[in-house]
Amino acid sequence: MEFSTKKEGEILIVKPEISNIDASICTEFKSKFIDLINKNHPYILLNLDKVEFIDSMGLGAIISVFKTLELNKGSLGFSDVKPTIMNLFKITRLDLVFKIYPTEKDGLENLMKSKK
Amino acid sequence: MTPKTIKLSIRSRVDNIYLVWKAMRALCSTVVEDEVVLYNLSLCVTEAVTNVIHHTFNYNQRNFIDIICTISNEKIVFRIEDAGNEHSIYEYNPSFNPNDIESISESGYGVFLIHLIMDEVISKRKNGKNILILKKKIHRNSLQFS
Repeated sequence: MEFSTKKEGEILIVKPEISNIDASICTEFKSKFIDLINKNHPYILLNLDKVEFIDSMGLGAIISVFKTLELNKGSLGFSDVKPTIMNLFKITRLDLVFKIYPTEKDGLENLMKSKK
Repeated sequence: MTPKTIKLSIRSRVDNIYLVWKAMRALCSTVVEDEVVLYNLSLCVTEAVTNVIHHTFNYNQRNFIDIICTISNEKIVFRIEDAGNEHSIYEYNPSFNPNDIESISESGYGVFLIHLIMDEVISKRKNGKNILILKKKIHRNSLQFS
């Protein structure tokens, strides 16, 4: 699984360079994020611009990362979420807890505020 | 349109999941236009296939799973078959308290989504096979689901 990273202030922007976060990569997905968290990146903005498919296993991996960060004084935000995936977040009620921003710029401006 | 049926036979490998989703999405797009509906419908098939890979075959990649898709103007029917040990899918609701992050479940969404999205879910065992049938009606006017 490939993703690009970019640091903007205290926030690490992570952009998966893949179309799918599903059962085939969920273990690797979690492992890569745990590595990032252990490298002292408590604030992460996940840019989902290239992701067109997330299944329940992928969702589970994302929830795991979300909980790890949020329960340890960090934060995970989302940007550039496609309408189909936004609908998935809504029907699972995860939109009630996830911090979802229309664009990366919005995420950078608001992710830290949401934690304060 | 007379009902048309196509059968896909795949190995029980998780790296086939995305291909299954793409294939189902393409098939359903012959009668459905709405992107969200296409996503959800195809997602249900992948969730069913993942359940078989995980619960029936325990990630053993040598087995096969058949996906039979029948499309008509009125409905779409998916039939997912495997010749593994008997298993059933149980309805589960991964509900949580939005004010309590620890209460959010990290699993159990697959079966929940199948029951939420499809009109009818039938699970049975016949001739040594597990058979899961998923049905969804189509509204012809809007090319969307009821």
